[in-house]
Amino acid sequence: MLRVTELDAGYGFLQVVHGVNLQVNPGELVALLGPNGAGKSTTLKCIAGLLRPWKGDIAFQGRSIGGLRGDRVNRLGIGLVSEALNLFTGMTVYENLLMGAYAVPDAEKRRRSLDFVFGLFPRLAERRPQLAGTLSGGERKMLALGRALMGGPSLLLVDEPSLGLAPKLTQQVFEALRKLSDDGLTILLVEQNVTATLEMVDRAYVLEQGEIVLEGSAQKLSESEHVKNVYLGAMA
Amino acid sequence: MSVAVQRLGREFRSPVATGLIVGVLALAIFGVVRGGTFILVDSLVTGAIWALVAAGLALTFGVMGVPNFAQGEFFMVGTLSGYLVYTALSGVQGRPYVPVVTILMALLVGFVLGALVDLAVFAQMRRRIREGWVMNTFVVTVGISVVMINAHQLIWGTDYKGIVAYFNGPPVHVLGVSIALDRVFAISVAAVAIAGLWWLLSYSRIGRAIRAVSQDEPGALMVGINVGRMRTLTFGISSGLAALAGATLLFQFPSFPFVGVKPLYVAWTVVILAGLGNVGGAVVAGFIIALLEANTGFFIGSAWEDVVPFALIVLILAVRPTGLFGRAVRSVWEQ
Repeated sequence: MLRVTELDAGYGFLQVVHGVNLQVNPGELVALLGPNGAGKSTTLKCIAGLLRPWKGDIAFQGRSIGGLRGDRVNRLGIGLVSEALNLFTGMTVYENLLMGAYAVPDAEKRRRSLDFVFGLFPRLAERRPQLAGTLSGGERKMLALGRALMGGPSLLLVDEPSLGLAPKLTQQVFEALRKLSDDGLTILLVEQNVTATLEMVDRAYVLEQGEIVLEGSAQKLSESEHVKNVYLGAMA
Repeated sequence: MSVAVQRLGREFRSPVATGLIVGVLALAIFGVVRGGTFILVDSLVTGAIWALVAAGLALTFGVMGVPNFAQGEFFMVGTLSGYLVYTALSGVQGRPYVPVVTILMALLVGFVLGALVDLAVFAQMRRRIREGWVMNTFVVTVGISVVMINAHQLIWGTDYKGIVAYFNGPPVHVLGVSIALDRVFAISVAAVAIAGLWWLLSYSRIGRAIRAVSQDEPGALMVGINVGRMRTLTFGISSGLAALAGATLLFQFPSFPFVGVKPLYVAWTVVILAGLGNVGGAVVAGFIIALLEANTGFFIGSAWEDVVPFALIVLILAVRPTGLFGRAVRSVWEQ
């Protein structure tokens, strides 16, 4: 469904991503793991069209989308939950969700998506007329996820959902992602929280200093010596 | 609807705003009691027009981060296209629909010209400029203003191109004041335009997208909004509103190359009073400035009309640099 080939990317003169290859198959829940500054978010931004790749190819459903503007990428069916969330803080929860379906012309479809999101996060339904800027951290995260789902994506990109969240809330967000995946949505997830992520995903890539150093099934990675030593610490 | 009311409530909760409202009411009552009802009527007419010009200014700054010093020249374009259309229709003058056609044409000309300016100038700058966006666009708008003033002078000359009145009928009497039909027309046009803008920004799909771009640009891209198109549209709307104001006030401001200078400065006064990028605040502040002007003109002398609002601006910037309606300088400065 998504295939990234030999991707180089960065900011200004600084190259952050070096020849990254990765692939996400339909229905999979795949994680991109790695420490801070490894280039995970940069890779995601390139896929979503918020950053222009320097080199390499990004193909979505057989079509090359590298360098395509973000709004076009969204219309092809790729939803993004960014690290900064990028909510419209001066709009209500309802308006934010409505904006998520901006590119969906069918009103009936929009209504179904809204019901689905409110079903997934009942909290958002309670906060419907509240300004997004006044929500708590966990609610914001839910709203960003809900907004991305409103567009009816076939591939969802999620950047660090656990960032800044209490463990209990992180677990809630992870459960929601797992549920979406079980319902058939394809998800590429960027995370630093290795233990919890590997328990949930099908496959994962480990990115270090801009290069993929390991890849494989979640089970294979949790048993790998490298992951045990570097990310899981004393557990081995 | 209730959300908008709530928001308005929040807007006015601060002690500064409360003090402001009390002050404005006092000024209005004072003007009416000591001067006459006409002060109120005058303030309403010019205030509505300033509100139109300033709302466009606030919108361009809020959405695009462009401090538009060519806004007065779009007012000038409105007076000019109003004049040209109206004189071209001289055969059917006197029919009530002619002024309406005239101002709508001016609105259209202003919108198209604004959209073209955005495509030709700001869209190109977006692609090339990484730093100092606000300062660079500021200088560029001053340049655009000079070009437009000189183009007017070159093609249509420097003489006053005005009309006596759109409507020749007897004035309307309200509360003991007689109001010329043109003024009634002006305030109606402004009211419709402001209501239309408010509806557009609050409830239409395009308006929401425009607000989305002003609140979070990457976020707007992420939900599939064509950000470039929204900017072009915003600049077009803002220019169109200024041109509409110009054509509507043609009976008061005959068209000539520098006719935009006064509206530009007043609109900036209004926008600074309201807080940069705050469209709703700009509408309110438009009326406040007009009230101030009318009172100054009557009680102190019309030569002081421009001085008092400017003195107020200096004071406001010194005490409360974000403007009276606060919190409105958004992420634009970081662009």
